[in-house]
Amino acid sequence: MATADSIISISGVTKRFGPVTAVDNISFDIQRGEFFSLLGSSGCGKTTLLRMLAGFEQPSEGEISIDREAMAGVPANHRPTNMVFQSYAIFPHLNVRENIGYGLRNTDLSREEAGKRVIDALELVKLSGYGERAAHQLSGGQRQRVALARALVCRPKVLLLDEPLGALDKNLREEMQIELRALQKTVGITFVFVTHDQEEALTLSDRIAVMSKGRVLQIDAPEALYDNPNCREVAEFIGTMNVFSGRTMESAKGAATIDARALGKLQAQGTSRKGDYVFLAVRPEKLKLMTKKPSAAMNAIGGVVSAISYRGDRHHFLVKAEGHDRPISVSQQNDSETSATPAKVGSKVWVAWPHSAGRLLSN
Amino acid sequence: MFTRPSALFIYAIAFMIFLYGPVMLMPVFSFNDSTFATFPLKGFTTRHYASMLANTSMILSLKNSLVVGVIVSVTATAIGLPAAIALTRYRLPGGGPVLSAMMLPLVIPSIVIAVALLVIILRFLHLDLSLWTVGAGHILLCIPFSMTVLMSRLEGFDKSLEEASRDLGENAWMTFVRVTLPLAAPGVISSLLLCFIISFDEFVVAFFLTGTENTLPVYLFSQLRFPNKLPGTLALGSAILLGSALLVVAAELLRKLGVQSAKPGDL
Repeated sequence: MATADSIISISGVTKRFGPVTAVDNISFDIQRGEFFSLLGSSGCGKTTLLRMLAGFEQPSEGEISIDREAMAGVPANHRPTNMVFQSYAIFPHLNVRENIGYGLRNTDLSREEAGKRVIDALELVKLSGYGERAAHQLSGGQRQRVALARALVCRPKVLLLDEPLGALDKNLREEMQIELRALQKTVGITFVFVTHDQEEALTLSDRIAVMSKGRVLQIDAPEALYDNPNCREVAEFIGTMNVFSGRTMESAKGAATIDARALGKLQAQGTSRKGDYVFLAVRPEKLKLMTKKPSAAMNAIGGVVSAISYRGDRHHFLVKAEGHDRPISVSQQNDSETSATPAKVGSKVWVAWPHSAGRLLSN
Repeated sequence: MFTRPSALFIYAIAFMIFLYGPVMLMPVFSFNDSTFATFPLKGFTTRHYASMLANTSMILSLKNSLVVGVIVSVTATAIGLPAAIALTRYRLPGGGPVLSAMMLPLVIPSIVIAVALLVIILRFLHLDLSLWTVGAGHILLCIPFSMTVLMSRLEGFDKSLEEASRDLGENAWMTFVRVTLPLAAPGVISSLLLCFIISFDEFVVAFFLTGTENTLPVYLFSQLRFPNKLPGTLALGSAILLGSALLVVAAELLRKLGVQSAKPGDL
């Protein structure tokens, strides 16, 4: 299972808390130097998995190895990992310098070397000159940086981050995302990042594991997750997705035609057995609004515009179609100079997309 | 507009007089040049203080009380701290019943505890009554108070602080020394003060369990039979009052300093 360059190997890991299975038989590898995200809604087991990597929880079953060393029975203080906590866990009785230097006490560094490392770490997170500040004098963003520096100063093989940007406001968050990504490239340490924010995961990660109910649904690069989700849950969790259900009528050469009942026949990429119940997933930005029914070269569904929202760079339409419960989401880029709205609420439109834009999902 | 606040003001003053009036009479009579604690006052004197200092058995009982109080407060806090940590940090099987059991002395009348302890010490342990047995009884009384104070402090801080320490390479003991203890320090100080005061003040258990040596409350009680000893006890009471007032002021100043530097660990 473990490839030559994997730094973390998780195999068959299950964690139970009494009757609750928080993590259910998970196996995957994380590559050296990777920015890897665990993405999922709350209660999906992502934090439990991270805490097992850190050594705060022991797996009920399965094995975790870090840099080819089995971690069973190795306590947190002897693992080559360091963690940035969701609450930052800045020691309130210590100043910034003492906080960052906390983990250097147990190393064989001299006082001078340790002091220098702390100064370097402060510089790394752009907090030079803040060393003597008390913990309570720091803003949210600064606390986050101190927590990062405190973990990185120990030069871990793996840095674990538990929703570290969750407590920041939107602008600061976006700023920190860019910094975090740049920092990871600079230090070259493997980052394992837990988040429930799919946008954040897409922005930061080399690869993402999408988790739900203690299981991993899909592990892929952000582009692949967005363009080729392997199931309905991933499709709907990452970004907005229109999903139509139906039965496969025929399938050949990587394309299929499905019978979506009231919505008519729809075509999509993917293979499926005839008669199977399947889902067709298509992104809002792949859809076009048309006033006339397009040719058979495109899928088309007739409907009525039920809502329009203006998002500056684009318009977002909701189209209600007969025989489909959820309104269809359509996103149109405002690339013409006038930005005129092409449709009004209540107007009859056709939602159309090329056959190749839709993905067939079996579950 | 004015009637309501001023009515409240009068009420507050009356309340303060009710609360502190009797206590404030003590220093007044301690300087009164008379053997009887009655009005009208006869004149100013410090002779009661001189006689207090000359009364070696009273000074000895004060010393006994101080020693017992210090030992009790340190021991009860030392026992209470690990228990409080265990009960706040870990989900223990039977944690609830254990906690209830530890809190029980809080609601059992101390006369019952005193009699029970007396029977145990004399009949089962066959020990002689002494200040040690008094101290042991006081520790039993103090543990629930110590636990309450410490647990409320320990529950107040983020559990991930201790995890962060472990994560940064410290073992359980050093995490306790470097993180838990400094953060729990205000609670530890409160527990020490509270236990000391409880022990210093305690009469019933001390009365039952003491041997030939007396603690101060027991001694004072025994002196009440002799009216001429009263002014001396009033003088001692006033001195203790002054001492505890200074202690409270000092503790409060320390706490303020601690808040300003936001370093509860410095307390």
